[in-house]
Amino acid sequence: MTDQLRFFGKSLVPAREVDWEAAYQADLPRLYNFFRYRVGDDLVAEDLTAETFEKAWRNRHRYRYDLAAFSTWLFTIARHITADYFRKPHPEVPLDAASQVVDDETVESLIQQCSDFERLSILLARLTDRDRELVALKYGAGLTNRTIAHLIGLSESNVGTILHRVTQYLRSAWDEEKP
Amino acid sequence: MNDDFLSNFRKSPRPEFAQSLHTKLTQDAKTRLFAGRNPTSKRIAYSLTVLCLIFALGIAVSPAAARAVVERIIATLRMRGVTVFVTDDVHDDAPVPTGEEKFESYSFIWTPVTPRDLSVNYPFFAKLPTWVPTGYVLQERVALYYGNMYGTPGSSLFQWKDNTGETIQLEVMRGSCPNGEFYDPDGPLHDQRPDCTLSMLVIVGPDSEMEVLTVNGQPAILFHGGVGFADLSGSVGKWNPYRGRSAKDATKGMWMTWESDGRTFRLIAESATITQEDLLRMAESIP
Repeated sequence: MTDQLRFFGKSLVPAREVDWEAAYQADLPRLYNFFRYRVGDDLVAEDLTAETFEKAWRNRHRYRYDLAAFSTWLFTIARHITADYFRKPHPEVPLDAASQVVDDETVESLIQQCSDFERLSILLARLTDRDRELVALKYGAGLTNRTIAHLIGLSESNVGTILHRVTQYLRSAWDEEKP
Repeated sequence: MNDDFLSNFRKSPRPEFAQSLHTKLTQDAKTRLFAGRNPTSKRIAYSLTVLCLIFALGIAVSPAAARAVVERIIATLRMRGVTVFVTDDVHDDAPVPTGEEKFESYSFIWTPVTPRDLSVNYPFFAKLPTWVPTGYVLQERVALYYGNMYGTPGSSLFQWKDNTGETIQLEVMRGSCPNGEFYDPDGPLHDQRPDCTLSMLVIVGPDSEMEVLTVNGQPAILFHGGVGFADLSGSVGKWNPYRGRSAKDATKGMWMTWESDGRTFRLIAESATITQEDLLRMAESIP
């Protein structure tokens, strides 16, 4: 009986809200940059960012506060959307155009013409899917190793180790392939 | 090139993009959330049905979602692992029950396993009752739920069916907060207590029939009506989003929840033939 009374003895405790305005302001740049690092294209990143927010908004009643922080939930949606994006077919350069590119310009000269971010995107494209995602979460979204570990189910030390190895590789490749 | 160099490629979203998306979302909010209110009588009718439905759908509704759905919470019932908000009001965008409804959520995912797989590999979640109502058979498909595909499981869900298709489901979750409430009032926004593993928050209407019981001496809350079930028809070997359906009749069925032995249990029955005593007996037979 004591336990039962205890339930009802509680007074109203104000619930804590997801402040959508604050969440939007805080998470928009993080999501946008996560997608930029993930897909290497600003316009596609905008589309995917919008899709993520819209999906989160539509499903806001189904957000399980008990299982994840809001930003973690948002990035979970973002990861699903990324997976969907890569599953879909994308327009490719026609074969003729591709051969002309190879004929006219070497890959090296192409890289030289790219902006630094484009150069980085080329290097990121060589990573495994998991490693590129880690880079996008860490350096694009600016998430902590702990949050990343929680998000993708690796240990925090494992995340740190992988990121260290990947950044060493990127550093080396960046220096070697200076335009 | 140091590690920070990798961060230097970030850039702010274009202001036009940020503004247009913001406008789109807020317009959606205004038109769907804050449009004209329903007449009082209709709202009250909604309150019972809609909020019971939300509760019974098996969705753990957060305080944030609670605030998004309801305007005024008039009472809060708490036990470890469960917080029940009682309200007499609801926003217009709350889902209106129209009989059986299906829903889907990506906030957690699951994969099917067999009861034997579960017993061998995840014994923590293999907590089965030794008694079930006559005619109900344990199904070979058990859901193992995860917050993400690389994490450890957060809960399991068993189901029993009789020859008419009536269903009982039992969800076994990790226990909730050993040291107090789920939310740290002094912590950063959205952060849960670090020692909490799971909590369930639900909203019900003011007229919902709730009872406080005990299961083997542990406090339990039982609700009548508006149950909903997880859909376990997802693909084998794949990660499935959480899918569920609400009951055809929001006034039928019952469910109860309690904590025991470091676990939170939730038992749901839609059948008109299952009594409260049956549900309690089934719960108490879990060793």
